[in-house]
Amino acid sequence: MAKNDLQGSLDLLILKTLAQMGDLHGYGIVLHIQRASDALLNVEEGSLYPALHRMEQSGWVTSEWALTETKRKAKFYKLTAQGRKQLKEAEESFEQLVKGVRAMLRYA
Amino acid sequence: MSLANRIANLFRRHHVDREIQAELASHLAMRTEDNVAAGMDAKQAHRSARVTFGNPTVARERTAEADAALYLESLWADIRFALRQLARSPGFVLTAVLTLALGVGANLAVFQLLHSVLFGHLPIPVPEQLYTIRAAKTPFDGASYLSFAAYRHLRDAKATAAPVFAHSWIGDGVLQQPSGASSRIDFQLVSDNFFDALGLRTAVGRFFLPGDDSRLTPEWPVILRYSFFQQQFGADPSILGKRFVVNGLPVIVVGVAPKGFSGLLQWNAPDIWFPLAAQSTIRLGTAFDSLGPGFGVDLDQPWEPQPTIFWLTVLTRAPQAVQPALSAHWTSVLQSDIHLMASVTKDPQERAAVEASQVQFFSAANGEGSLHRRYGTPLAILMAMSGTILLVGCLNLANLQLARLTQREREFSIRIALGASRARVLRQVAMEALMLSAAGGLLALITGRVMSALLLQWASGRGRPMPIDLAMNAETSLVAGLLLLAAVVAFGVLPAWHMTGRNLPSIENARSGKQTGQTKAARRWSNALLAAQVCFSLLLISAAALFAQTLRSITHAGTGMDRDRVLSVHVDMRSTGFASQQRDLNAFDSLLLDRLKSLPMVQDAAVSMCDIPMCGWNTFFHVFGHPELSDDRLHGEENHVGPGYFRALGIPLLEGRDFNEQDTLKTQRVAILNRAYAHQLFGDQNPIGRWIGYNAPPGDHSFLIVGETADALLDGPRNPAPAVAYLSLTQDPAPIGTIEVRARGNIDSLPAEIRNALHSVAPTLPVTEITPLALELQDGLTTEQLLARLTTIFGALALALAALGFYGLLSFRVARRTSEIGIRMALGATRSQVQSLFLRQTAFILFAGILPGAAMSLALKSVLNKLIDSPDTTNPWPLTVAVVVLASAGLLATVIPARRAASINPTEALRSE
Repeated sequence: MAKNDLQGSLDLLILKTLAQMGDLHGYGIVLHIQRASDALLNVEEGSLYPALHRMEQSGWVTSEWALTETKRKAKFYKLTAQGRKQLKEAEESFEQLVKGVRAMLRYA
Repeated sequence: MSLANRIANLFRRHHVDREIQAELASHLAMRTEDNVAAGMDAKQAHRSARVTFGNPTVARERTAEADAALYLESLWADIRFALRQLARSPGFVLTAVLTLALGVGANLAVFQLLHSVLFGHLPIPVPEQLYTIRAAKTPFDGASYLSFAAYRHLRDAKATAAPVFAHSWIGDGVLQQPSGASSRIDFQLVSDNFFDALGLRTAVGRFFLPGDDSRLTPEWPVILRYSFFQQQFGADPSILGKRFVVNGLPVIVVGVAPKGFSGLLQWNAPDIWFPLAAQSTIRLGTAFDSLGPGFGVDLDQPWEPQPTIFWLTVLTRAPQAVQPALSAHWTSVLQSDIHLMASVTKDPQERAAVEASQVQFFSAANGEGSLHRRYGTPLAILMAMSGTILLVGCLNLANLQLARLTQREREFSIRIALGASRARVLRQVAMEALMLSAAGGLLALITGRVMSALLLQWASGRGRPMPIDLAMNAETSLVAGLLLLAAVVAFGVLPAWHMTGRNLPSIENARSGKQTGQTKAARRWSNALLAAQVCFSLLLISAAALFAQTLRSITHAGTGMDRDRVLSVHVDMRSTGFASQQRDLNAFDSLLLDRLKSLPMVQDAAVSMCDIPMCGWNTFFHVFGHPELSDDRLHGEENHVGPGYFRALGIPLLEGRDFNEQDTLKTQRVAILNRAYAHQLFGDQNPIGRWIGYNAPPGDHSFLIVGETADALLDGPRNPAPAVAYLSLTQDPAPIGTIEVRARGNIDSLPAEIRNALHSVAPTLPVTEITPLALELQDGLTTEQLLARLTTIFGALALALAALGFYGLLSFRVARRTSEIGIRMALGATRSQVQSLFLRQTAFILFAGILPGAAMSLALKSVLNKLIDSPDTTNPWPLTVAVVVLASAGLLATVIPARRAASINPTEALRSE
């Protein structure tokens, strides 16, 4: 089972974002998470990049420099096949966690 | 990313760094743009972007770390940082490097020796198939040597594939080169198939040819040991065919043994090998085993035809599976030799046992000898001791390091406040320890080498170093690595872990630079470390005192001789052929003695055939009128001496008279017994006037006993006084081996005078050595000396480290509490109160360490008592001395910082606050 900690959730959020939005740069990922979670989740921006680079080392994502819509140079990340597999596992393990916590909270 | 990519990253460090920076910058820029779009002004937009982002340096560093290969890059930065930090505390660096160099070096040296003593295999192919062959033990010596006849029987019994080969004991001699240069050498006689059967190949030339060991030739073919060939002849292959003279005999070099091969004996390495047949013309030292003069033994005739001289070690190469069959076969082949041993055994039961002797195989894979039995335990003890000294050193370093890190608290606080992770700080501190260990480890390789050579020399006593290969091997390197790693963890990582684990002072506190005392936990830690150091130091120091005391009690116990005033002059009249040139040996002896006695410093001098200690010439006397006495009562040692021998050695004459000039070839042959032999033969009856002889009746009354001397520890202080019968040299002239010279006063300047005096009357007399008797008697004490010397060094080191530990810790505490002491003094504390504040701490630590240390020392004593012979464990002084010395060292080392504390000026201390 994958790690059920915050690190794991950040990885999950990033992977899910890339799966939903296709290629995206770090700032775009931050914005998407904020938007998609109705501003409930606020990613600590400084810790995003270590996570992205680690995922790239693990072969879950690849990166490429490209221009944004505003013609600014940014590094775009793209999900790999291995990354998709990882996302599936992370989603499942997160579901487990949520179920577990919920059951815990409902316990009377 | 692939491994190749990661490694490539290493060389693209700057590129990757820039890339990360650019990525973060683009993030910030996009956020700022959005902020401006949302209506902020430029400055505000930028500021807000930074705040949302967090610390960009930390983000950059963590991102770089995520690029795994970059880890190595930051390692390099850590190394540079560590070097800068270390350069700031040279005292600590020196202590650490020296501690590791000596501590690890000592462990390596002892381990290497222990390993080769216990597991060192001979450098031959398949050493585990090499076995010595033993049959019945020789009657008097109980040794396993075989006669040449027995060796021939085995060799001629050609029913098997197992080779049979043999070698002699090692003899010493003189090698003369055509240039006239001469050097002392050790030689050994070996069978012609010796080297081939061992599976060796020559470095140069050839080995012996079949028949070399039984062919008489005017010029003996010889083979050189490789390192001898290297040292004496510069490894010049043109040595082949060169002619030399060894002990007066012409020899020709036919080959050189392979590099690293130094014979089969653990104790000694022969420089030159001769074929066995050379025995007929070369004198093979004094170590021999025979049935004695009573059985027709004549050592001056060739030994080959005499089945009653036992001088060969016979070996074979045979896998274990074939040994039972071989044993049965060879036992039948050796029947006549076994029967000879049995025939001289009187006791019927024992005789039956000898008759039933079987050929046995003893592994010689590690070489012949019992090094492991003699040195295994002492070296294991030394191994434990050297492990302890390293532990003590590491405890000391851990404490110093803890103090050092506490001083750097402020630096760590700032770095953690700036975003460094705990792991990052830990890594840097560990890097410092690693650098120190690397330096200490390199030095340890050198000190280890020097120390192992020294240890070997010590273990070998006065003789030549034992042929033990001290080259680094895989096991030793592994041990070195493990020890260093343990040291790094012990003194580098653990203190840092402890430091960073607790709450560092807040950044405000750190910025104010306020120096506080150690926290309670830290103080307890460093107290415990120092107390542990004291505990183990006490163990080492008391062990050192114990071994020194043991050695002292052995060497100072009475030996029954006046050893401190006697010099033994060794002459070699046999191997050099000198004796055969003398017409009248008695007259020659008198000439030498008269000249020596004319020296003002010489009180007395006398000649003897045998050396002390371990003359080892076994004999067997029958008692006239008592044919019923058992073998073991008849058995003793024999020496032939001139008049005045007992006076010269200071052995008291108890009854009767000494030999004198009236005992000549024409008068009744006389003997003198010592107390032990007299008691064996006659019980409590007076031996004077009784008769003994070499043979059974009627040969049992050749010698009339005219005197009885006291016993003396002639075989060294660790052996019981042997039973000795003395016969007169004047009645049976023979070449002498030793002149015992008794000095009037100091013996130090005498050797040179003696040499000159002897030279003036006999210029060609080969004087090999002039040694104080006291020194010769210590020859059997190498293990005791080894233990005493090395533990003394360890003890001294432990003591120095303990003093350093107290000095370091207390100095640090005084420095940290300067302002507090200032306040105390301003409030009226006296200087002595301040001093006692620190002396009390030392006393407390000493107490906490000495108590368990003393208990462990007592336990150690009882363990040692079981492990080695007679350590002097009843004496309470070693432990007492150790406690007093250690406690004084600790207190003295505290006095300096305590006085410094007492001389603090309160006003200045408070102003600097």
